[in-house]
Amino acid sequence: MDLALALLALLPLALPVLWLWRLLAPRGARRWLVVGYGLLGGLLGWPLLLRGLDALGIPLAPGLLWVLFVGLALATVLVPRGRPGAPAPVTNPGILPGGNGRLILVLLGALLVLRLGGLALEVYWRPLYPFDATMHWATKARVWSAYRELLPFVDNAQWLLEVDGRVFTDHHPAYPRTVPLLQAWMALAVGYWHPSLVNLPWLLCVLALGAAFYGQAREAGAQPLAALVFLWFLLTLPLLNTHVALAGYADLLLGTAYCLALMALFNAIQQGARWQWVLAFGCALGCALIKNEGFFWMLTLLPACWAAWRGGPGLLLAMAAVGAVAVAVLLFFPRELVVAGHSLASLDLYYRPGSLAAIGRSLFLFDNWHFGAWLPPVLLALVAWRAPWGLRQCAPVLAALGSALVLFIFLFTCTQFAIGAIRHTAVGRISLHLLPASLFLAGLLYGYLLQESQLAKKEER
Amino acid sequence: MTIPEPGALLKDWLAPAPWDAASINAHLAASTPESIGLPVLLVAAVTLPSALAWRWLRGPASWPGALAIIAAGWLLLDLPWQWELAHRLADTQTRFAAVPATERPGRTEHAGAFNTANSVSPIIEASPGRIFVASLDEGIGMLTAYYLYPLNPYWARSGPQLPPPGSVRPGDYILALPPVTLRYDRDRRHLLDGDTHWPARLVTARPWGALFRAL
Repeated sequence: MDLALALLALLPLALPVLWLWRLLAPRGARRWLVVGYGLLGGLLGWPLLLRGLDALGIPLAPGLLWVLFVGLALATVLVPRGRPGAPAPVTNPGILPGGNGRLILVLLGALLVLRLGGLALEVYWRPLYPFDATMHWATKARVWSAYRELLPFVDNAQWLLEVDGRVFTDHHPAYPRTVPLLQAWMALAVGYWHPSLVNLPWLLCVLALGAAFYGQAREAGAQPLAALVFLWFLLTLPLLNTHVALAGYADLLLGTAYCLALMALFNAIQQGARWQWVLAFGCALGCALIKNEGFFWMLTLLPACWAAWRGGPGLLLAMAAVGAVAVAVLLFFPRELVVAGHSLASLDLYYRPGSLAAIGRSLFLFDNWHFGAWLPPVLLALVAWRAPWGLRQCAPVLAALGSALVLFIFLFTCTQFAIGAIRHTAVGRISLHLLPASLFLAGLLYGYLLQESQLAKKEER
Repeated sequence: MTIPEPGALLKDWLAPAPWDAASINAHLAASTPESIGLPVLLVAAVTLPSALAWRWLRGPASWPGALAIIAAGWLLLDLPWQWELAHRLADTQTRFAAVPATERPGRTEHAGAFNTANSVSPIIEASPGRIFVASLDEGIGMLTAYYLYPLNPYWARSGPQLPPPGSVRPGDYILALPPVTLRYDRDRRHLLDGDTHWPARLVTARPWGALFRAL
């Protein structure tokens, strides 16, 4: 019964799939894209709706929320249908490989089913477990689901002064509300705090990431087998798998939103499709709703737009501009002003020896990502050598990930968070925000090498 | 750095380890300091040059073959991970599958904190008040506070075990969980920490610690 209720509770989170399906009338591999972005839309949108209701003073009563869901589902008929005459997708025709290729497709598909099936059972059986989840994410979810109201959380000092017993505290009271609201919704739907089923949205999240990744890879021109190989790389990353199995942190959701934003931005620039711009914009804003770092990752999409606008040389200009802005911020920004949970004063800026080596170990030696962190730099060097025109094409992605990498290294070498790199308590999971997008970049780079060899073959003829 | 024997490295690499508190932060693939990093380094150092060599020996059309070599290397790292996941799943199933959902945290490493919270919650629910969780052990304090929600606990990650006496009001609860430096003076009905004291009466004392109510 609990499981049935929990599965039903996933329906509101999946509702945007239906809307996107109607809007885009997808064909071929674009269906995957619609599923992926629709699911992320639900994971970000349903908590927003709960916040809206609470702001209006409406209690989060499950019955009312179900009525609202049914209303929204019925409203699907109001969503305009995708026009049959809309431009055809630019994806490859989707020719399935023959012989060995088809066998590999089946094998990879089976490996993915095995992996995701195992993770689903872990989520289903294991109660909420990891440290930060019990320190500041699920704390709020337990209170909000019990009181059916988004009661305030304040810092320890403020709480001591409160006389109202309905004001709460935890270690990070100001963290964004999306993740605890997802758990609160699951508890409301199941009827009590079920320590395992509250984590089902993490399963939906990994499905969203996988489906959107495959769909956007195909949209970018990847053949089915190559897209599936890179999807398999993505969904078998050990630390990504861990964040599904030991659900409760916000990092997987943020990594998904950032990857989906960047993929949509890339294909929007390539195709000029307005709907891809909308997806990119929505996912970028979503980053800031998930975790404080999301605000800064969202900003890295600005150099990407700059690089797209200025063409190939725009990449260098974008990186120079990012550097100039960073220096200006360090020199002139008010030191006490808090932006997305941080101020320059609180960051305690100076270089911490040992942190850079720790970042290197985490990315390239630990099995967090198998050798997934090796692929982008190796492929980048090859493309720069054999197919330099490819660098111009993926300049927006390079600009975004390059800026994010600079921020990432700065965060873990020159701020108080360096301890999270040196002790390996944070650097791995913060990399999870960027690794999925980095694998998309790796897929693009592989595609350019493939194209180059095909061009060379044609020239030989 | 000592390079481990190949047999020892393989044994370490393939030995499944259970989920633990550090799992969420890193996956090392090996447990001994001299083996950590070697599986990924070895596989990457063989796979990536092999893929490049394949491409240059077989010509421009052989990129798919190079990708296949990379995928084979990936599989080499992923099979032990799958093996480890399978072991962890079997352990998860054994520990939790047949246990009612609300009792599952009692089968984890959180059991102590979970049981403590379950012991005191009915007392606090009967006569509600704010709860100060005091412990020098970060894990015990944080987890007990977590299992007390949706009651109204206070646990400060850094700083003293308890806030200054003026911040604790009559009717508040104080949950003292060893290790603590707090002592209880039964005659004067005071909780003491050095020279600082909080007027309080003992509500209950159990093996896991004691619950007090501020006066």
